[in-house]
Amino acid sequence: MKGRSSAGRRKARKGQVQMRGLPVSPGIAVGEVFVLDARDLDIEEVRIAPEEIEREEKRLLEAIAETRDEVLKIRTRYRSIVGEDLVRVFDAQILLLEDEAVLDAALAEIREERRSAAAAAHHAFARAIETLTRTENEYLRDRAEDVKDVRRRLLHHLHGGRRRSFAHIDKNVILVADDLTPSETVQLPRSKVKGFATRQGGRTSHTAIMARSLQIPAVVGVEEILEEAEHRDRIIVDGSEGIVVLRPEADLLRGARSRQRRYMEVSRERLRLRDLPSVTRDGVEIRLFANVDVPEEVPLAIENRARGIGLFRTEFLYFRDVEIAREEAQTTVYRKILRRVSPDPVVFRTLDVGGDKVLDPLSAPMEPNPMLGWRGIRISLELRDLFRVQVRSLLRASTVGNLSILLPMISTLDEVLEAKRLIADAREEVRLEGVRLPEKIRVGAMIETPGAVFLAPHIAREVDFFSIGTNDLIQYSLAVDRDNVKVAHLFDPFHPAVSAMVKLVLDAARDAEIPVSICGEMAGEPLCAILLIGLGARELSVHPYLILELKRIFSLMETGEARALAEEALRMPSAGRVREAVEQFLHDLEVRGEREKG
Amino acid sequence: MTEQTVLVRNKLGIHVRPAERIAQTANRFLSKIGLKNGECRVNAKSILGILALEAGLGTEITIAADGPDERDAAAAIAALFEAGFGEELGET
Repeated sequence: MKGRSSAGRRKARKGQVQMRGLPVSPGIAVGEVFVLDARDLDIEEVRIAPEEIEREEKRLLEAIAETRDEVLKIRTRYRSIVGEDLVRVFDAQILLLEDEAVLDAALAEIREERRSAAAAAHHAFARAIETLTRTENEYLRDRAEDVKDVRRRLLHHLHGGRRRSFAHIDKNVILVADDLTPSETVQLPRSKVKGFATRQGGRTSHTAIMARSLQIPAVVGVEEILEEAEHRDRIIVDGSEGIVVLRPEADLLRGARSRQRRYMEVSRERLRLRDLPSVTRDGVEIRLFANVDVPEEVPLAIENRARGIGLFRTEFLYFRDVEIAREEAQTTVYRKILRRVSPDPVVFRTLDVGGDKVLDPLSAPMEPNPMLGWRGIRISLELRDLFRVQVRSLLRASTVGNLSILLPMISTLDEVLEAKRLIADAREEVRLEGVRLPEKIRVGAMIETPGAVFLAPHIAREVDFFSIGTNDLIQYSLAVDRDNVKVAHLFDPFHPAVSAMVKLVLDAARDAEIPVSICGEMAGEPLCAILLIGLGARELSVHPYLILELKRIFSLMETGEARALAEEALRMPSAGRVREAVEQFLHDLEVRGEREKG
Repeated sequence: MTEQTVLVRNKLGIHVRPAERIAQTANRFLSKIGLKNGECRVNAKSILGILALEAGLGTEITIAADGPDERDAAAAIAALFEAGFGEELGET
């Protein structure tokens, strides 16, 4: 590897660097960096010899053609999922790729500056990106990301489509990358990777999901990681706090090692809770289910003794594998999950895209208010073939396990009725094809809009269960986009209005005698979970790694105490007051627990 | 050389979609085609060039085509501007 000696030199010059990111998988890892991406794909600034000019020009044109084919292929696949309109953005990508001005500039760089094809393309696109980021127009500034995306694809092709290969990993490492692609996620040498730090990504990026399923620490969204990290640097990844330290000084390293030991002790301690029942001090069972984004997380749910899968978000299947649009492929995936979890139940939420999750990220800016736009059940009721294939796949898979169907983003009763009608049609089709379906397949509604909260008594009569999605419910009822840093502080699950809404839904469900599970992030946050139990919730669906901690807390509290707390909270004027009251409550529980133990 | 002056009529100005349509149209012709907004001159076959024009509603743009099919080229592109790229028109 030729980068090694220069990396060594650079390392000697640089000292400790601490960076922040998003903590997506808890724990502390200390180890050696393995950089999957070199900085923006390793552009070597060497002058080429005059006789190489022609070869580099040819390479550039070939790589453009290959990239174009790749984009076209993606376009074709997505078209089968989302239709012609949404894939038109890929045409823009192709145009950017074949852009005459950029191409001329790149060819001129090869010929006149004697740059390599990769360096020439990199520079020519960099100027275009700069032009776009300089404009006053916000929309155009965002398009700079599209250009970067095209450039990244092109540079991959110029490098023969390769990033540094996993084959080089022969010892324990901490992986540093821009982000992991789905295919890389699959090929990852799991036993060797002890942590992740990536530049891109949110909680649901491939890296985050992979890290949680492997139970290794990960921090994503560390913006400067690729600029700062060198191959083989020592690194600390604190996946609980979201901190990454490169080339740590000795005392920091010692501190990290001892925190790592402590974390492992606590984890071992928690593991002992695994086989204890999930009951409160006064013996009320709180059923804990697992939220699962991708099939790889299923084993973790089973290991942590979830009562089943309370929320399987099917959209991630669509994000990473476009073949999933085919009924056979989808049926196979669902069947596998059901078999694995059986006899426990699996609640599959039908495709919930739109809003902050778009099938095709490039189409996102086309809606002025995506969170209030075309998303969730609205898409399914319009793209009927998409919904039909998904429901048929679910029904066909239902023969091997305990399956429920959950409808996302309900805001009217008509949506429930229409979806049920489509499900009944699909059921009839599948039955006529000779599949022996279970007599009853439960259909539930996500309650995550204020509209659905107030209609809950009516909706409850039409469905078999409710699932409260607190993330969206909070967002819609408090009118706060939690990804918007200007207002994110207003996104507060302790807002008394949130408690009031949850209570309305729980009451409506109790009257109609249907179960409710709460599946937003609120359910997994111990303080919030206490409040939810107090409000009357008895089923929570949370990320599998949170199950053990919740069990511990439930074992400390009595439902009567929690009810009194919740009743008090419902009368409070502000989120701050509620939070204080719940914090005090938990503190008292811990003290009582310690006293009784000691 | 054929020159023609047009006005940006669509409300949102020349954002990606209009730029895409101009570049697509320009690429159908053999002539060299330039667009001018004051001092800024760009290649009409380049979507990025067009975006760099930063042409909002009401901007005056000069189309300059030079080549065997220059008249048709200029007319085709002028027609796009005239129709506001099929988008909502603003008051100019």
